[in-house]
Amino acid sequence: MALFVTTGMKKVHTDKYSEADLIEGLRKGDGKVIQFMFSRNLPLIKNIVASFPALILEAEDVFQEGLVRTITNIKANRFNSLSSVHTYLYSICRFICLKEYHKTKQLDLSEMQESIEYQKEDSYYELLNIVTEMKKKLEPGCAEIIDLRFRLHDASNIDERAHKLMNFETIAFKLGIKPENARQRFTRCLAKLISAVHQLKSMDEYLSSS
Amino acid sequence: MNIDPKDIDLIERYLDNNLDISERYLFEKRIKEDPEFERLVKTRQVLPGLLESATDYDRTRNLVSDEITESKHWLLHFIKPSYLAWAAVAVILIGSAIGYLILKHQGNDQVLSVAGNKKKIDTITITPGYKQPSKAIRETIILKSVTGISLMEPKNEIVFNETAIITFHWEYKADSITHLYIASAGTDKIEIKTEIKPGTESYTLNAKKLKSGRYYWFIGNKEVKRFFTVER
Repeated sequence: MALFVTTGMKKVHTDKYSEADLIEGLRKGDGKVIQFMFSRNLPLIKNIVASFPALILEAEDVFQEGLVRTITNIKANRFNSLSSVHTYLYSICRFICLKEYHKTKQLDLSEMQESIEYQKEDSYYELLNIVTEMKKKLEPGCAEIIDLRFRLHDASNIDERAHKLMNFETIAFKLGIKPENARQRFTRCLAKLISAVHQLKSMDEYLSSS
Repeated sequence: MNIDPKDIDLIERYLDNNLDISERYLFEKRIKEDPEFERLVKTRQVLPGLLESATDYDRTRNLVSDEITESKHWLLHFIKPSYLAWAAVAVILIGSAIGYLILKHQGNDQVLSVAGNKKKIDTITITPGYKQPSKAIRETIILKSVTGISLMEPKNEIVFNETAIITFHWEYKADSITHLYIASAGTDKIEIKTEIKPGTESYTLNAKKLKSGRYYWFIGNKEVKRFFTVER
């Protein structure tokens, strides 16, 4: 794990995990690596949060959101390794605080030059959060039929699934209902979900980047 | 804005390739002419990927949350009440042991002093010109550390009558000047203060110099003191 080496007046933090180990561990969701990242980086995240005294933010929450985004970006190959994974995490956490600060002060975040690269990403994560929340709020049976139609629990590649929707006969067979009922339930559920996200600004940005 | 389920059904049939030629033509024409519908079709097309990402994002968040909880739980394991109780007991025991050793060390010093060899005693007699410090001035006792002092006579809680000549006897091993103090036990007011040079180990006082009452005396530091009483 982490070691402290004293060199004169300064404490240098050295890691037992190499950068490659960390990235691979985070990509795989290795619990030990996540716990290491927590113990290694929380004090620094606390400092970042403390540098925004006007904010009521928990350092742990900022860390958690920052690490989730870091892992998601690593999985999606959006982490370019130009900086260390720790520095990358700090940048994301700092942006999260900065965003909250600007929200509190009603300032325009787009004026912050340093935050531009994270704004697009932030909009995407905001959209993911909304989609997740809206899906959870759907009536019982809705999430199930949407997952079946989109084959979200299939182990096959996502690109194949996108072009291979499950037909309503198969869905009906799996749910023990008639195909027409499956179709009606699905269209009703999907209409509700799309209604919730269709007009979002973050959806605009997502559609324009897709 | 609520989406019409009929539009969703139409899009699903299009994606399933279940529209006939005329329906397909109208569908594609509508996409070109109706930006809202075009946006709806695009939204529907990106939705499976978005839902997949959202599910993965949520799963990652739960994983990170669980690992943080686990990490904190691990820390809490070491500071749970039973461990705190044991730590407190250990601190008390160590503190007691240190206190005992210090007291024992001090006690040994005094015992050694009492049991020591005979020392040369210089008698100091209070001359008629001796001026007692003004009782109106309450002196502050500076608790400076005076090492090497052992109080010998009088023993603790001895009672003297007003005609007594009290001889204070001590052993002083240091080589710096210090003071003998006699203070009222009731008010802590310094009644007599006299300089003690290295090598001086006794001081004689006529009890008449003191009012009747209970006093204590010490050399330099009142942490080690002896009480005595003067009666009329």
